[in-house]
Amino acid sequence: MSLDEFGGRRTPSRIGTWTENAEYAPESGGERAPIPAEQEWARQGIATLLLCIAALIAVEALLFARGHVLSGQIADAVLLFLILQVRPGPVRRSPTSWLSLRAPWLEWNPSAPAREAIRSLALVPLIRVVSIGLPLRDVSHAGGTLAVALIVGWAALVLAPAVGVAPRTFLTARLPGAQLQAMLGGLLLGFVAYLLGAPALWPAGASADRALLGLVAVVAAAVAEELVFRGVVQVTLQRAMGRAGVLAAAALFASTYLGAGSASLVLTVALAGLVFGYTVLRTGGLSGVVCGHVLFALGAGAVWPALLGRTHPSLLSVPDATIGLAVATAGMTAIIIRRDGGHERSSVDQLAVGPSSAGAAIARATSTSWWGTIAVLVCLVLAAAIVGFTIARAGREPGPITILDRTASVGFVRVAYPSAWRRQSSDEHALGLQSGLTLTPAPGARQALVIGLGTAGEPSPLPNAARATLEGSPRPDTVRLGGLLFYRYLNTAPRSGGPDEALYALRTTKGSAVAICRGGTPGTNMANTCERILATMRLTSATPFPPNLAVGYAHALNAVIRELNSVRTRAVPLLRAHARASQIRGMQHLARAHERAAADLAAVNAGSATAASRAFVQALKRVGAAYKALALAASRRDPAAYRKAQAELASATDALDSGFAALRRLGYSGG
Amino acid sequence: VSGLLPTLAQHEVASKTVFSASQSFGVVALVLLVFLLIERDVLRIARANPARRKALSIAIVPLLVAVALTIWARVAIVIQ
Repeated sequence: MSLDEFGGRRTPSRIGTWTENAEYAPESGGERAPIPAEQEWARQGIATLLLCIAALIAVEALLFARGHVLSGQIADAVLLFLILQVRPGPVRRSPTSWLSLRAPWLEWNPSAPAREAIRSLALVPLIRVVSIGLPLRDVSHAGGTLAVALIVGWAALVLAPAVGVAPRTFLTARLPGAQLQAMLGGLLLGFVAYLLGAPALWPAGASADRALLGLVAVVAAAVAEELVFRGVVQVTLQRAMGRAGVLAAAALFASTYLGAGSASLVLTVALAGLVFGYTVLRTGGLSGVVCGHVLFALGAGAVWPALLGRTHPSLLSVPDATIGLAVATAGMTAIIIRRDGGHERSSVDQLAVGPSSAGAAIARATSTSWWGTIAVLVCLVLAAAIVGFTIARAGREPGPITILDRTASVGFVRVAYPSAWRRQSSDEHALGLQSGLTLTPAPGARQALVIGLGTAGEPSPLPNAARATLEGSPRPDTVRLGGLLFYRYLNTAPRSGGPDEALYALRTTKGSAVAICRGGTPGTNMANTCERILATMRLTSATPFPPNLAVGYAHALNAVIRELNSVRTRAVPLLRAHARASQIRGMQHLARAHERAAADLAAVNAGSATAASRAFVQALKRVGAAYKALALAASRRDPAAYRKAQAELASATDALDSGFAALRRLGYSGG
Repeated sequence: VSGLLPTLAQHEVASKTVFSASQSFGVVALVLLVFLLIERDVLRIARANPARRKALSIAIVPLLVAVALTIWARVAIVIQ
């Protein structure tokens, strides 16, 4: 795919030809000279660029962070559609064209750097639309992340030459010291994120395969994010806006993490974005920042939790950390603004062929005066401290790291919950549950966590009565919270109307424990807190059923074994009798009992234990056949056939023991 | 299986809210993809600058892959 296919990278000489198409009215007084066409284009481009950036951040801040995922996704789709309407080349109007109509929006014709920067911004809503539009997280969270990373990484690599960025520059390894600083920065900030409660990348006790997939997904996501935000977006924004482009790219990067639910975590990501952006500004390569990003993500979500434990040490006070991070972010911002573009001229700067005059003006305005810079720095630090303090105070509401210091019980279930939460009268009967407990973040709040109990012996994890209150037939995934494996039904819609709910069901020997998280849209504080509360669940007088256990099959297995034991008890005296007829009758009883047991079990759906059940049924049939052969040999007084039947019985009994062992490994330990 | 798909999809979409449909089927991505495909065809018919059509492909291909993966995942679940 060549550059020319997308309009190619613009050069100053080509910019000169566009002036022929521009028309500008002189100032009314005629005292000021007409604005040169190139500057006018640059002004239009910068204004549109700022509008795009503000819109992208606003969509994330106002919609995603508050849980309006669908609205945010639609807004992102509209933004993506609008950005894609930006033409790769300048608008060329002919006098006969209908485009020669004098409408303001038809006069829009920004400079090449601004146009390329706007087009590169398409990657930001594309990430969001694809990541939400690729709903594989209920299948595999890591798999979904990996797929999104590969798709978006491909898009960034294809878009790069179209907006004048050469992908080969990504591999530049200039200034090893700066690259090392980015890696150390990523490592340090990953530790800070861990201390501030960043979620672990995979649950405790995850299999090696799952951990490996998570590892690959994190690395791919880090590479894709760096390609998008530093490799394409930052470089094109720098060309259009000077060093302010680095700040804008970092702000866009941080805005995608607003859903993290904690101001301090968002500030950590923002600081990481600035550090990585500054490194790219100096070196022009991505190798150091990709390593730094991987260290940041893996450190926060895997390495530090593995080394120091999944319970985050309380080494940092959240409000203090928020203020500290805000000050550090402001300081890093000042360093980027203050940096003299004449020193360490990077390959990114060299790539910025033909920067717009407005971009140059912004760059000049941010670096001309030492005293002005100090004033800007002081103002930024003060503003950041005020904002950080305000956010930190607001963050004292129930959040993802609220301490769960109160306990409540219902039936055989006990949970811990935040002291700020309240117990309310429960509506468990409306949900078809036996008894219940309702916890809310505030009195009268629409958000609530309802925990109720179902009756024992229900075939599905979610009691039928509770299922009947829901629209459709929701399908669960499984999630391990604390030491228990829950069936989770996300985004279920109650028939009575109201917001979507997330349901959690835990099957136990005394029936299902069901939790309903109202207002717990995935990714929000409420959803996080619900899951943290459920992670504290303890069963006082019940035992949880293992995952994927088919309750109907378990009951059938119990009945079969009970019947076999009963027949065996009755048959043993017959087998020990001296009369041959009695012994033969005992053998025939056992043969019929085993054949009947095999037939009964074969008729029941064993779910995930089907293979083990088939082997068990075959063993039962073999035992039945062996007893039948034994009885026949005894009645015919055939010693050879009797010995052969005895050997077959021994072999079949071994197979039956192996079948028991296989079923026990799958959780069917009763009998 | 292909004959069952429209019925299954209709049942699933009708039984859920728009939000959950978006979460499980990627409805927004699908609609955007349709819009972009239509726009690309309109540009082709109007013989517009090929560069514009190719620029659209940068968004069309990822969305197409996302929609295809989603359908594959859902059908795999139905078949299982």
